[in-house]
Amino acid sequence: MSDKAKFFKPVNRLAGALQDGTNRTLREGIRAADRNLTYIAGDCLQHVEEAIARLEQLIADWPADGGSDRLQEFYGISLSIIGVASVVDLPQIDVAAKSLCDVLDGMITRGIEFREPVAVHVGAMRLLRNITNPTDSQHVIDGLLKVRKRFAFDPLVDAKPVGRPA
Amino acid sequence: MQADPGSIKFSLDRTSILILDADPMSMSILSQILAGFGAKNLYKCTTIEDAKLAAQREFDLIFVDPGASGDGYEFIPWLRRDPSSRNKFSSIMVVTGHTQSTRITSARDSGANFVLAKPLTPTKISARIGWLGRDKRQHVECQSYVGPDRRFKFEGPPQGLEGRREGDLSADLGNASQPNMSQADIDALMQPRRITL
Repeated sequence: MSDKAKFFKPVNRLAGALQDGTNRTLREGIRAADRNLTYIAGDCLQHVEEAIARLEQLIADWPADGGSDRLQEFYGISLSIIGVASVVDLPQIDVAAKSLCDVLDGMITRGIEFREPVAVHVGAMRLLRNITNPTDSQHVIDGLLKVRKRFAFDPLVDAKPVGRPA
Repeated sequence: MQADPGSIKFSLDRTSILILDADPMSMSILSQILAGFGAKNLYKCTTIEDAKLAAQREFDLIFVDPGASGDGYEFIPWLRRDPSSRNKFSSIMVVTGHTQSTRITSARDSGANFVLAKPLTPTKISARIGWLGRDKRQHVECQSYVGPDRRFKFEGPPQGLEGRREGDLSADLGNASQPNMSQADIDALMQPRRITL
């Protein structure tokens, strides 16, 4: 392949498929999709509960005086919560899971391991699952975001320069 | 002003869609949303191997969740470059809850048309699919990248650098052929004036 970039316009098949679709309206589609999501709400809630329980178990197994070699496992579980909690109207747990992913990513990238910031996030998720007052939830989230700021990967500080995009 | 969703036609019943997502719950959420919009030709794959097999047929729209390992990002360059691929120009949307910092470059260079952050909602998905349907960006092929043009605006090559596009002109502007405009001329261009129609 030549070093010079070739530019051309292919046929947008998606545009054609959308054009050929029936005359159903966007509003009808959104309603049907929302209705479909209510059918799986029970499974979503169970998924969130099980994921938090697995995170709690991993924290309990973390040696008090050492590191955990399971940060990637923490990350995978936390990632699996994002987007699922919102379906069951627990968006604050999504925010906490995203914040935990940021913290874990920061630790994995720098090769460091601290139990406390992870434990704080997992504890907060359990708390957020049970509290109903939005103001209280926001206080918890604000606290997590402070922890996140301290441990998350900071592109201005940590990133290596990358090549210019085509 | 936003258009009334009651007057916009939007149906996925003629759209063939492939989903690659290793997480069953996340797959289920996306499938339910797409089914709500009438999607019938929905192929769900949990591994890259399965997705490569499924991709022997043409798809109008492909969703890829790269997963915790980020392996899903490898599927997109395969779709764009492999000689056997029938989906070199298909619309590809990456859906992700979080991208690890070490994977950001892979995400940028994968060749996806769009990255959509979770949580997914029907409104968000439909807006992005509609946007992809209207996407007029050119397709780029070069050694390091194959996929839609990542520049949404083209304002010429970066200052001081030679353009890498075949059609790029030289950055050398040459000497001015006319005298500079006076400040009064420039001010006159900016001044609002009353006109009679």
